[in-house]
Amino acid sequence: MILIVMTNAANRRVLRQVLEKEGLNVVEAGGIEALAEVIRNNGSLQAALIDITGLEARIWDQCGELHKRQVPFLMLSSRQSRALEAASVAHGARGVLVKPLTIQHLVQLLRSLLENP
Amino acid sequence: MPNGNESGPQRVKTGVAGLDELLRGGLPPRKAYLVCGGPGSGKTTLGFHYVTTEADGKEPALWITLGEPPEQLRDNAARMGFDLSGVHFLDLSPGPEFFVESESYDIFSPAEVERDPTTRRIVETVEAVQPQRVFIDSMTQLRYLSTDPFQFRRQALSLFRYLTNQGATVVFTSESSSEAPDADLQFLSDGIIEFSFMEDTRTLRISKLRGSDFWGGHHEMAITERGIVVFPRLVPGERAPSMSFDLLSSGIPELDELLHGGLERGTTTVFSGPSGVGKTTLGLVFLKEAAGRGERSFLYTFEEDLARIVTRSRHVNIPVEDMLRRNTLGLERVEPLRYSADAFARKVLEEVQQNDTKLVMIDSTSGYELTVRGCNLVERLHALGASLCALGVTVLLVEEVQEVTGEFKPTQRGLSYLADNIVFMRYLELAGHLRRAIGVLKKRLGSFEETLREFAITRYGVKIGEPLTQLRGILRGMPELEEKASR
Repeated sequence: MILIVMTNAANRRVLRQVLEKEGLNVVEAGGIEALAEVIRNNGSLQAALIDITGLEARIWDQCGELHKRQVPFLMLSSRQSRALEAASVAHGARGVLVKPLTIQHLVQLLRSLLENP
Repeated sequence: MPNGNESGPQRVKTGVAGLDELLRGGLPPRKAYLVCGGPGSGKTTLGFHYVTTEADGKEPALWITLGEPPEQLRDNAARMGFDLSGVHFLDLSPGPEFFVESESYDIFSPAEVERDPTTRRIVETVEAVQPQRVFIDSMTQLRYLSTDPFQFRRQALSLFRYLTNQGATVVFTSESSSEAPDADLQFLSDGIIEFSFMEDTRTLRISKLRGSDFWGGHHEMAITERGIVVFPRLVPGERAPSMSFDLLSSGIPELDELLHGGLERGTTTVFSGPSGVGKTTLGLVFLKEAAGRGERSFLYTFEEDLARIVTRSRHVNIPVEDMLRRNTLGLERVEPLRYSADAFARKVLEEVQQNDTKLVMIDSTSGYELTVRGCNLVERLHALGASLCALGVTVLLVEEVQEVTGEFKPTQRGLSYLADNIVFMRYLELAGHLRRAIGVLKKRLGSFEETLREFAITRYGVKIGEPLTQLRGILRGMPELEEKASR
């Protein structure tokens, strides 16, 4: 089960379509509260994609929670930022991807995460 | 005038009057053609013609729209008299929900997300409809579904190949701009039809047509209430060798003497002179005589309204009303700003061909000049005059010169070259009276009297006097009696 955390509903919809087409199961969270609930209730998370756009600093607590549960995750951002990269890695992210992504690249990364959690 | 290639390979007609003539009968089938031009230039209207030309079910037509929604297209088409109910639409335009949802995605580029579903929808629709005619409005929008120009070129080419392999002839539009030039589409298309709209004049040009001859150059066009009409530039045909040049009498013996019998049939004559000297009346004299022979003439007047012509003709014993009633005369007041030169020429040729009209009079070249709108007057008038003469029609042109007296100028606009005959009229002052003189300056196909004669317009008609052999200096407008001059 892939967790996608994004405030932009259009992004969630498009990403879900892409991942499901690849045969992956998806669970969505539109904000920090929803993310906390998914983490609490879903024990089968295999990986997560978190779009930092529109999320408050409290997201880092949830990132720490994912890391603690050994769920690999990637951060997504609209712009390149060293500070964001540093914070993301410090809270357990495997890396930061800058939008727009290419579908093929994202799918390869996700498969890699799933194979080497 | 070139003919459509009726006997050659089968062509796909665009349905636009005049355009198929330029294309030698229509578009070569199973190829892809670009229609380009600025906003409002008529690209979508051409689509209305194209998809409804064979709308009887024989040639299924598919309209792929990436801009206007189908309902709007149907409405706009219906206002011009096109029925798109038999046309299949594939709507790839954004719906209203796109705006209402407010959020758009940015996680992937549109090229990544939209291309596959778009391609799938096109393939599904083409397989279902099996179209023979496809109109894509516009390909420019599909450009945004490609990650780079190279990919776009490949995808566009591939799309055209797919559609043409399925049996379709494709016409597609592009909206060229500095941000998205359409040079690549021009290269990969099999033909290019360009629309332009400059200084109130719409023109169309075919700049490419693979595997076929076509009629190049700019041709005037109009977007009317019933769609596009193209006016292929007039190119005069050859006069039949057997065509006779028999003389047309004016019905006035003295005038016929001056012309050594009259004007040759199938020639162009310029009646030149200052304002009010009697040029139109002299032309009407020839039309009256033609009516007497049972021949039809047509007078296109740019200057006077019909009521004035009828009234003043009656005052000089030319029965215009009667000629109109008997159909030996057609008369139309032409508003020059309503017509381009080629549109006017088409109108005149239609009249001649439909009604077997033998004489055409244009009053005057100044009015006609307004239809030319900056193009070469002599060139256009030559094309019209020569086209009519090739059909055996006698052309009378009324040309006003500015100077009432003084230095003699036969024509104001350098029309001497295109006239077979020039008949000029002058005012002259004689013993304190204003008089009129008439003479012949040129008669390409025959001889003429080389003296001038006095003439007058009376209520009994035009009266021509004896040759003015005792005067000199007539052309300066200040004649003197020869014996006085020699003293």
